Amino acid sequence: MKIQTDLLEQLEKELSELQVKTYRAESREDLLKILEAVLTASHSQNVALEPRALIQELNLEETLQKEGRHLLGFNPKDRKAMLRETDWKLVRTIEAGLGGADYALADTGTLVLFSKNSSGRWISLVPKIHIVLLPLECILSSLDELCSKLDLVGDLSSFGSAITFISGPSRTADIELNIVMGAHGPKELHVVTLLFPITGLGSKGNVQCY
Amino acid sequence: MPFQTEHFKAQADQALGDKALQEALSRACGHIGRMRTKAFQELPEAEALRDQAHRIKSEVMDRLDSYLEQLETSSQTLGVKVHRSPDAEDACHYILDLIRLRGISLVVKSKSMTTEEIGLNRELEKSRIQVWESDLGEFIVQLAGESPSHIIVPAIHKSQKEIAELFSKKLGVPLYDTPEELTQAAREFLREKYFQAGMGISGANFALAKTGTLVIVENEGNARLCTTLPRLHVVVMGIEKVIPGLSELVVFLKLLARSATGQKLSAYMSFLQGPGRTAEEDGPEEIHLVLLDNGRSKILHDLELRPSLFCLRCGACLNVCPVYQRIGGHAYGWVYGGPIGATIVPQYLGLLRTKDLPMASTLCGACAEVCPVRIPIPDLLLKLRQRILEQGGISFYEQTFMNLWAFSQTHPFWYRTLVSLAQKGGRTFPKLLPEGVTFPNKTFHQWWHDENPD
Repeated sequence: MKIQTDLLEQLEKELSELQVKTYRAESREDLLKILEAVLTASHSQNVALEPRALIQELNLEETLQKEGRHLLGFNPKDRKAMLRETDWKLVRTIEAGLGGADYALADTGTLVLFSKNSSGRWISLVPKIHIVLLPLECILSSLDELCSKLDLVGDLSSFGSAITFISGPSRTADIELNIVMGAHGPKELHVVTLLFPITGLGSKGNVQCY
Repeated sequence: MPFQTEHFKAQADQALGDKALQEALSRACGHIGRMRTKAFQELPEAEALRDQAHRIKSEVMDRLDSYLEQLETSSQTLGVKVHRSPDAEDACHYILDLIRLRGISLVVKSKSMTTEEIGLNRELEKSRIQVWESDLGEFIVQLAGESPSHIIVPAIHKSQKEIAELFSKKLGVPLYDTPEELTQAAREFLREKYFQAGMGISGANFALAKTGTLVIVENEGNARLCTTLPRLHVVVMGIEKVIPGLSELVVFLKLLARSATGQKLSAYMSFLQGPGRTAEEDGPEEIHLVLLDNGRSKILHDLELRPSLFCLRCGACLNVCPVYQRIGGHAYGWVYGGPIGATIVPQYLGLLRTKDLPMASTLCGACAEVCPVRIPIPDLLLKLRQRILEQGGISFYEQTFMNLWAFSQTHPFWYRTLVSLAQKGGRTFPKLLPEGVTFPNKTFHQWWHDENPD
């Protein structure tokens, strides 16, 4: 994994230039510690998990659930009640979204999310804090590498209704060119690279499936 | 937007006298220009990419109709309804009909020069539809009842203090004195609107003919919210924005953010491919793609001026233009300002009512030097000047003076006589000259002759 760790270093450098906080988790326990620290520091009491295979597989629900914190897990009924049916009333109360990324591009510090795998887009968009779990093997060198991978699949629409590229938190410079984070989307972006293998998940053909 | 291109000179004069505007423009243009230069220095293949981008656009224009047909088919496969609008009026009507049919009263918009071009907000407001611009700069400009003055930084002409006063007056918030607080106030106000809106309207930076993918590039996340939360998403896109597929797109993506803001990539790029799927928790239920012509096919058939359709709307040419840097976007009198505005506006609105725009250039070539798709803007401006002349767009006196000038340039005796007369006149009647201008004792020829008696 020599190359992957080089890419990770490059990615982390780019991400920190974009004011993204980066972490490395050597184990699941390590990951839980990091998440706990991020959620506590940001005073996130309402946290939503992305129903992505990776997040489900990591089985974080029970440990993250604690007194004074409301966790939106994977129960489809709970989730449905959160969305349009109630005019998004509950969604608006969520402070942090915990999700994954399908790929990361090392040379630009970009996360790539397929809406098919993230079951939509709001977790990475609506909450003020966005936490991304990134398996080490999902780091690619560049946009070119990603596009040649996607080209092999040909049909872009098989990745869902939206492919979202995220390079840093939401930002604006519209007031006298001052850069302000959190214009409309997340104000903080945290990327945790997972250095440990995740059982039950792996690559499927040319495009990994997390 | 009312056309004021006829009043360019007066508007430019006014801008030149506005000290605050002068400072804001020079700071902003200088800063963004330097960011762009740095970003390009870090990209060794930049020049090759610009060649490639020019070539791709050129090839697309050669068979634009077939790419559009392909896009229409691929969009329909994704479940996107496609509407072709010949002009602004048709596009506005189509959107208004949709709003009425669905009983929508609130619309959120993300920044789109194309919707500025068709005057959509004005039409919606006339029909008492509440419409909110969600890009912070556009939001500021909307609250102030003004129009954008820069493609990328629409409120470049507004100071933080002015924005604080505006927000306090219009949003009822305290008089904030940091950009963070002001941004937060806008965020909170607009958040509610995204969730309540029945329709989100956006533009698109690119559309891929092969797959129907619509690409939107932004930094704030407002376009993502506008295209994700409301049930209905309407995209208004100029027909020239179609490109073949993903491999072509990559070329433009590498150039666009670097040219616009000096970023490697913008914070967000969304590839949108039809309504939200059953297994997805959000996304619009319905998407309409309005393919806008509004004079573009006329430009397409004008082979000399066709390259003006290659424009990505990155704003790089504005930042380096010595004229734009002094007068800002409003002076140009319509949606598009700066060198590219001076090039395309006359083609949209007609030469005679816009004849001052192509003249408002020093032809220094800075714009062509930074254009990511290598539009030869100075050449196009010259062509436009020539056509204005052919259509009799210049005054009798100007024409007479030019004829006299051309004559003197080709007849040395008359040149010396006229210059000598002008010099004597200037010495004799110094009060006729503009303030601070004095004429030397000798003409250049006399001076040269005296210095080099041999």
